[in-house]
Amino acid sequence: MLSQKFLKVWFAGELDEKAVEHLKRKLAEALARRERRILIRFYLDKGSHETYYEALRNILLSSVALSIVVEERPAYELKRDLERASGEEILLVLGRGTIRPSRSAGLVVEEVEESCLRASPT
Amino acid sequence: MSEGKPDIILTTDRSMMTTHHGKEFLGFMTTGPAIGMPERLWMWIACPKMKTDPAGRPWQAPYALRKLEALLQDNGYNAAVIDPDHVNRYLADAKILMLSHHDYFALCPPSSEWWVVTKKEPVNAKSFRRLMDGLNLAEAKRRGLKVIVGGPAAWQWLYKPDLIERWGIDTIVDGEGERVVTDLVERAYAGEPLPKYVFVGPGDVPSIEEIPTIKRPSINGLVEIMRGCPRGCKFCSVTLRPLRHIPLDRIEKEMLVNVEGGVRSGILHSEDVLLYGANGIKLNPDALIKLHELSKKYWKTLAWSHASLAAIKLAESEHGLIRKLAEIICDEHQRYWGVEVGIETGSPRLAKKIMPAKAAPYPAEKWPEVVEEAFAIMHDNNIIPAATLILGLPEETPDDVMATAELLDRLRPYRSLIVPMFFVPMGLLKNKDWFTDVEVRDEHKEVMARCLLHSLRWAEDIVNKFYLKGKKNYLLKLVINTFLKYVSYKGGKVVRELGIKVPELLEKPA
Repeated sequence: MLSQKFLKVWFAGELDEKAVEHLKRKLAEALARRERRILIRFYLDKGSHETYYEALRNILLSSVALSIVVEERPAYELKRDLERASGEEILLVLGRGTIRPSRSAGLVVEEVEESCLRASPT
Repeated sequence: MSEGKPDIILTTDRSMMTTHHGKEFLGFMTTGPAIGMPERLWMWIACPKMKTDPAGRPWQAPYALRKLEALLQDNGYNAAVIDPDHVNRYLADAKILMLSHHDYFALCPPSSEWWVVTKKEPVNAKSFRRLMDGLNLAEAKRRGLKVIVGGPAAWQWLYKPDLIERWGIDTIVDGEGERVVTDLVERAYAGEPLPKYVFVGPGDVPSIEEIPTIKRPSINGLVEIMRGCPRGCKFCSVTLRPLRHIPLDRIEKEMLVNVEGGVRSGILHSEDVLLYGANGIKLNPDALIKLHELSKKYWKTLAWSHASLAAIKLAESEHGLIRKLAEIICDEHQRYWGVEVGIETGSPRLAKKIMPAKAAPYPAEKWPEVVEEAFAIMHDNNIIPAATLILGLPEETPDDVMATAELLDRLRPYRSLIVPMFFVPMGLLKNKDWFTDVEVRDEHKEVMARCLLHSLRWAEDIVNKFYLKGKKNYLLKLVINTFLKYVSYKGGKVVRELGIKVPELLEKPA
C-alpha cells in the first residue's frame, strides 16, 4: 500500500487551530477529488507532544474514507527534503513561523494565514 | 518461528494471550477492575496463563496475531507469536516488535464504563502496562528495534503521546493490516524511516485472496468467516469496510489448523454470523447450513462471535433456520451456544437515527419488538446471548433511556446477560482523569441497575446449568458463584441506596 500513489501534503510551522482547519480542508478536498490516499508529513520543531497529538487527532478524525499516512521529520530537514523531492508533486502548507522556501519544480505552496484558495506555485 | 530466534516478535499482554479457560464470556472480566477478590485471583479466572512450547510460542494466540504471523511467514520473514512471559528472551536479537490489542488502555466499552462506575483502572490496561514496563525496550531500541502497534484499539495511542515516547512506538497501524504490514517491515529492514501513523481506508482493505490462512491455533479456535457489515450503524467503524465472505474451503483450512493443534472447539467470527453467504441482508440458509455442518465435522462445540437480532428473527420466522441450526449444533457434546448481540437502545426514535438499518428488513420503528422476538427465539433454542446496549449517545434524551429501561423489563423472561456500555465522547479522553468527567444521569443509573439485576438473575442459571456444568469446572464454578453472591449483595445495596425501584428483579428464574 505504501508504494501506491499518495496525494502528498507537507506541513511546516506552528500546528495551531487555523493550521488544523487548513489541513482538514485538504483532506475534504482530496476526498471530493476522489483521491484514495493522502500522506501528510509534519516538519516538527521540538515542542509539546500533547499539543501536536491533539491537533493530529482533530485532523485524522475528520476523515475515515481515505487511507492516511502520517510522517514526522525534524523541521531542519525541510530544506534538504525539498531539494531531494524536486519534480515530485507536493503541496507544502506553511503554518505560522516558517519562511517560504525557494522555488522547486512540482511544489505548490499554501500559507495557512492566506485563504485556502490562494495556492501559488513557487 | 521457522528456525532460531524470531526477527519479528508478535505479542500482546496476558489479558489477550489466554484461553479464558475455554470460556470466552469470562474474557469480559478482563475489561473490569478486580472486585471483591485479589487481582491475582481475578486474573486467574479471567485470563489464566497460556500453555507454551519450550520456545515460548503459545499454544493458542489471538487471531489477529496469527493472521499477521502467517502473512509475514508467507512473505519469507522469520516471524513468530511469542507469549508475553517469553518476549524478553528474544528482544535483544529482534528487529521488530509488533503489538496488537482490543483495548490497550481500557478506553473502549465496556472497560471505559467499569472505569467510570468503579473509578478503578480495569485489569486489561494494567496488564498491558505491566507487559510494556517489564520489557527491556530501552536497550533493544538503542540497537535499532522498531515497535509497531495495531489492532482495533490502535486509535487509543493517539491519546497517549507520553507512552508513545516512553516505550518508543515507531508506527501505529489503524485498520486491516494485510496490505501495509509487509511494506512497513521492508522499510524497517532497509533502515528507512517509518511513518508514525497509518490509517487503512476502505479502498485499501485486502481482497479475500490477500487474507492469509493462519498456520497455528487461534484462541478458542476462532475462525473468521466474514469481514465488514452492511448495516451502516453510526457508532461502528466496521460498517465502512466492504463486505467479504470467506469461502468454505478457506474456513475449513483454518478449522483443520486448530483441530490439528489440539483445539477441538471453535468460534465462528463475523460481525453477523447469520449474514454468511448473504446477499446484503437477504439470508442464505443453504450457506449457513453448510457452514455449520462443516463446523461440527471438526469441532465438538461451537459458538458465534456476533449476530444481529434482526437476522435471528428473520432466520427463524422466514426459514425456521435457528431451529435447523440448533439441530446441527446441539448434540452429545453441546446443548447450548453463546453469541454477542447488540440491543444498543430500546428507543425506536434513537434506533432510527443512529442505526436505521439494524432492524432491517423490519422497520426501525419496530426495533423493540424485533429485540424481544429475537430474545424469545434464542431462549427457546438454547442460545445464550451476551447483549450490549449503549448509554449516553450524543442525541439521547431521557425518554430514550426510559424506553430502554422498559425494553429491559420485557426481556426479563429470557436467559441472557445484558451489559450496558457507556458512550464516552472522545473529547474527554485527552484528560488523564477522564473517567471522573463522564456525566452519568439518574436514568442511566436506572438502566444500569436493571442490567445488573437482570444479568445476576440469569448468571447463576447460566453458570450452573450450562456454562460450567460438570465436575471438571468445580473450582472455577465455586469461585464464580461466590463472586456472584458478593456482587448480588453489593449491587442490591447500591440499588437500594440509589432509591431505584426495580420490580422484583432479584427473584430467581423458574
